[in-house]
Amino acid sequence: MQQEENFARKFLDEEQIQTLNSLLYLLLPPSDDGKMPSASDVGFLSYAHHKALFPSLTGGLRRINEKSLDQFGQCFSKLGNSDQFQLIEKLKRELFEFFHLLKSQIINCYYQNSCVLEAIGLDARPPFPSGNSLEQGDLTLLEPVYNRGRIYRA
Amino acid sequence: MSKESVDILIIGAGPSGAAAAWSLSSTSLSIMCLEQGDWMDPSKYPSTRRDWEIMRAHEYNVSPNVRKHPADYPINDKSSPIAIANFNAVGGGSILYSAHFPRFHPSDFRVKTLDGVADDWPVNYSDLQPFFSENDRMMGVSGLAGDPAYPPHEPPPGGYPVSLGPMGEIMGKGFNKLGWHWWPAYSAIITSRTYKGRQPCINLGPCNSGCAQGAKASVDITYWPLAIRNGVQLKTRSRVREITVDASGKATGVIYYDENNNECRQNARVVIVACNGIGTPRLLLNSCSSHFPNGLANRSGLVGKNLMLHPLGYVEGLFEDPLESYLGPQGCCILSHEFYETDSRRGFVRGYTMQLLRGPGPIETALSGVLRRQIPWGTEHHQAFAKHFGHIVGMAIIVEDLPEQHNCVTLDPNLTDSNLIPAPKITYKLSENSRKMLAHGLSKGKEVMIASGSQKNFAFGPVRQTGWHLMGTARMGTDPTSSVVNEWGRSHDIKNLFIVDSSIFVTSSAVNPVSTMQALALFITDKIKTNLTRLFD
Repeated sequence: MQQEENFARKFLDEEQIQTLNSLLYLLLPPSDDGKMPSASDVGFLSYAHHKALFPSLTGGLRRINEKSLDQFGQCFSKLGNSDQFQLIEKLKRELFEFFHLLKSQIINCYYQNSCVLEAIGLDARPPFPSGNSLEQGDLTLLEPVYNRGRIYRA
Repeated sequence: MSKESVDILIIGAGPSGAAAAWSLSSTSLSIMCLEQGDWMDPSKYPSTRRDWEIMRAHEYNVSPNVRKHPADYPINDKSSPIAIANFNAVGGGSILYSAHFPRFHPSDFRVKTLDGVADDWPVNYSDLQPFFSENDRMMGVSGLAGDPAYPPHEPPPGGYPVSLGPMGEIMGKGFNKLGWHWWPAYSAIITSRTYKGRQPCINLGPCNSGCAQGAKASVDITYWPLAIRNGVQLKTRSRVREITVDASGKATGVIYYDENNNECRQNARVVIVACNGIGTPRLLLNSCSSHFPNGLANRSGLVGKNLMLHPLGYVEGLFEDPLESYLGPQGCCILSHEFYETDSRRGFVRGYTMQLLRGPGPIETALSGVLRRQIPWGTEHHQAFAKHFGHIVGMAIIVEDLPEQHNCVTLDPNLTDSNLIPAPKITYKLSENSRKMLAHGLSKGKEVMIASGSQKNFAFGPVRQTGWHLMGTARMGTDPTSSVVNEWGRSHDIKNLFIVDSSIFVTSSAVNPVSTMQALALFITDKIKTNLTRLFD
């Protein structure tokens, strides 16, 4: 986590990092049963660094925090969940491109994470070379199709 | 730079060019193929990486306009509701296709006679049958014999059909409930045993971003190794700018750019074009001369006209039971030809295929679920995701579009590729017949989803990023005034110029075209071989 934040600090200030982490947690919190982690716990900062996303995120993060200070008198990361949701809702049109980018990248990162893949029933690996097994299925279900006879035109 | 002349020069190393090269390699002719792309490295295909879904959307995107590989040329498809898909490499479109491999039906070659629309082909199903079989053996097609939607033919050689899985079973039961035809997919995928050195399918899933296992029949691993062993010379990263002609109007060879962008000349006694339904008319239209001021082989004025793209509809069902729908070859499970043949009571002529697709992977499930507001953000996300992932069944409705001259490929006046060769421009719109057929297919698709037990459905079409099937832009026929090539693929205007790709299709049928395109390429090259002594008569 510390190393991740060090990556991020090259592009984001402390408050922007806190805002981003709050957004990640807000948009994808851990599941009630604890099997699914929050998006703030899947290495998003290093993913964003690898994908060179920070320059595209700084403006939106700054604007969210400004709006938070303006409306609630405190930083976004200090707000409760309902205030955070309310604020995002107000900014969704103004920051349409920012949220579109952030949300799609959260999903891209989240559903590659080993813990997440295992929690949804997949192996945490690429498809190749191990592959997957799949039942052949019951080909006798074709009996009525076959018995109906020819349906093509000559 | 001028090169020694060859007997046969093939342009394009995709499915049809590869089949043609292999077929002709049984002769003593000197054969060369020029391909603008390079060899692929299967060890780098997306399925070897955890971010395979993301790679499929970018580096392996079906659109050259998104992918922008050095081998790609841009295509202006803004005037078409269907965007063009292709791939430029040794193997061409077969690198990214889903290997769904049904043949055309006998009725597809007799459209005018049976239904009074478009034109009959100058060849028929029985002419192609031996070449369908030969191609099935070369590609290693799997499937099940006995389909009542086709005339009897030998069992597919590549093994049992691809696994149905729980998804295919539940949908098969739904089709049975309605009394509709369905059949396990014909797939150019080795399934149950090693075949010609290829290992069987291990259900990687993303067939349509390259098969790292080699179970899927892309022609870089089927036809090309054999053709090269037989002496065919394949030159990659060689982009042909134009086909040249002599004073008598006979083709003399090509001018192309090599891997270092040097302008080169290659002379040939016979030129065979295999650049697909967009690339072929582009090349011919770019090959103007005093003999052919409107483009090579274009005295009929039909080069680039009659583009057919198979408008595709998408139907999706969400099921309560887990179906592991994300497993298995992405484009191959089962198909239905219940609505394939014309029935005038439906309000349209011709018909469509229902092609069952596997469900999306986790990233695509989440992205599309969020986009459609079916999977929310916040605390409810995980539960909603779990109800969707592995529970989604997709279905493609592949509609037969009929040839219309206003649907066409022309040269864009401004857009060029990296060698400054004018790029193609696509002008296309769906006919009223296609729209009615698509609407019918979407409705029937939802009906079978419901019969199979889905809880929620949605359907839409045409889907934009689906212009894989590129047909009709240099059609074949016996009349030089109404066709570009004759009944065995030879240009009516130039006796040493042949076309073997799907641009010569007279009509489009309602099935994926590669099987028929390759059978036709083998048919044409067989004619070339048997007519060698009087080829230019």
